[in-house]
Amino acid sequence: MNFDMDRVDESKRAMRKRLAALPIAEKLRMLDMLRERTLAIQSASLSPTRNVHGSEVRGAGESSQAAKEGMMSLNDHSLVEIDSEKLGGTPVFYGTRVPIQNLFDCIEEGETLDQFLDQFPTVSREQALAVLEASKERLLNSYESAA
Amino acid sequence: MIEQVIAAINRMQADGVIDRYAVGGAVAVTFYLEPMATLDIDIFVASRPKPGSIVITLEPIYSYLTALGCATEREYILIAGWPVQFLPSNGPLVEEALAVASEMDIVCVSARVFSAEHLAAIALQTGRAKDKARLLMFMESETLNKERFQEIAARHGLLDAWQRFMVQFVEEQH
Repeated sequence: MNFDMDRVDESKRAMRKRLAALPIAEKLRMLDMLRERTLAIQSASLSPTRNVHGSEVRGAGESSQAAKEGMMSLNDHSLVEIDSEKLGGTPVFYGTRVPIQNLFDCIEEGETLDQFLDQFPTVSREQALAVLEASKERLLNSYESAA
Repeated sequence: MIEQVIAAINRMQADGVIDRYAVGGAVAVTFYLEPMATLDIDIFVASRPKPGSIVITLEPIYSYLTALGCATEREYILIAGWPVQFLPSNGPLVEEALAVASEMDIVCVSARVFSAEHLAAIALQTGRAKDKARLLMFMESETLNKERFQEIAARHGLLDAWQRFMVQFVEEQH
């Protein structure tokens, strides 16, 4: 067998060039098909819950679901998500792209919780209340520890 | 289909819900390179806080689309079967990319899409593994105007990141 890697590279480059030169409508149809195929593969594995990407909702995601059902714990990991792929690692409400800071900014500006929730519909009331509650507990605990 | 998503966003723009928008992410890269497998569509929107507020909100977009029957899940809104993420511009580079995005025809619709050079600069700025792979692909392609890309990188303070990228992915290989 002959492994001429230069020829393999050359062949790959030529194929990529051909694909890139396809009409955009055709390339977008390929994206549709690639996505459908990925989702089909994912749905073949048994899972009780799937998100919009077809991937399993587990772990912290379950906590987020629980929060939305009114069972939010005060565990920060189920409230706040820090992910370098979301807003460069800004702390956001779990499962959203809404920075936690926005809640405090809205309140400081005199808006109500309902107004905040109207503006950021991906945040549930339970999530917002749990963040406020966690923040209150932290503040009060810091005074208790100091006493 | 992606064309249906673009058509819905164009309608939303025509109805005045959003001002300027541009397709970003893997779907935008597909306009210039080979198809990039992706599970969602990133739409960048020019956004300003409400008068007297410092908070940027996507609420009008969500209200408009949910009124049309689109479902939401986490940070996505489902349009024509695709999870779509609306992203407010988060800095001068994306602002500029939005301002100079090109109008591109698909078949029945046209879409505003980030330029190849801005997509490459955003990849350099974001700097995840997949962004670096994307940047390498742009460098190998004939679609990237390298002078324009370097000018954008310099204007947005990305020359150090560019040097690091070159050392890591290009110079070390020789």
